[in-house]
Amino acid sequence: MQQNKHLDPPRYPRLILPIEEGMKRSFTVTAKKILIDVTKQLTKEIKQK
Amino acid sequence: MLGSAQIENILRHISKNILLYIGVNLGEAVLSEVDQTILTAAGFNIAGLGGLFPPYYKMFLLGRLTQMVGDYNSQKLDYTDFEKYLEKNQYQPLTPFEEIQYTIARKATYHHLKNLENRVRQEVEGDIVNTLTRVEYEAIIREEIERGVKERKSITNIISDIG
Repeated sequence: MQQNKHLDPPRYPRLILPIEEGMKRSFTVTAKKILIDVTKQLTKEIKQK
Repeated sequence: MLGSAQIENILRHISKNILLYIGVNLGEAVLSEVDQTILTAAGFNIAGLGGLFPPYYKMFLLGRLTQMVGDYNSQKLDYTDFEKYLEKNQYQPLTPFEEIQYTIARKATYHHLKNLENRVRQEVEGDIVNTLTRVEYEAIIREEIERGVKERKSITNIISDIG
């Protein structure tokens, strides 16, 4: 059976993980910021209505 | 119901945050003029966003380095070694062909992230409109039922009044 390359462990875990983790963490922060900013703005717009 | 300008004020926060992610991780050079205007209007200084080595560029240089030194030596490398390699400018500048490869890859990733931005905007807009419409309809129905009870109307008449 052919293995899914994306599921293979990285060849250089000590090298790649810090960058990948940094990008993932940054994406999680972005998603949370979107949630907070959208909720805040929505509340503001509804109050002003 | 919120107007289109108010909904746009809400959606702008999605664009702002995703564009900031793109700028920080892929570098400011990939941002279009419109993207730059959105970020500047949101109060961000886009000059040097992502620094000298945005993570995407680091990944590209890392890939190139591991290819040059081979599997055996790459396995012995530590992340701090790689950071030092970048800081000390030990890497060779990209050749014109590598420059093209990098630009194409970065542009493709940029488009994936822009598509994600559009999808998130569409979903949020749909959710806001659906929820607000439902709230308005529910208020109308509640009002008509209350009035109907007071005026001792039949269910058929209440439904008919709601339209």
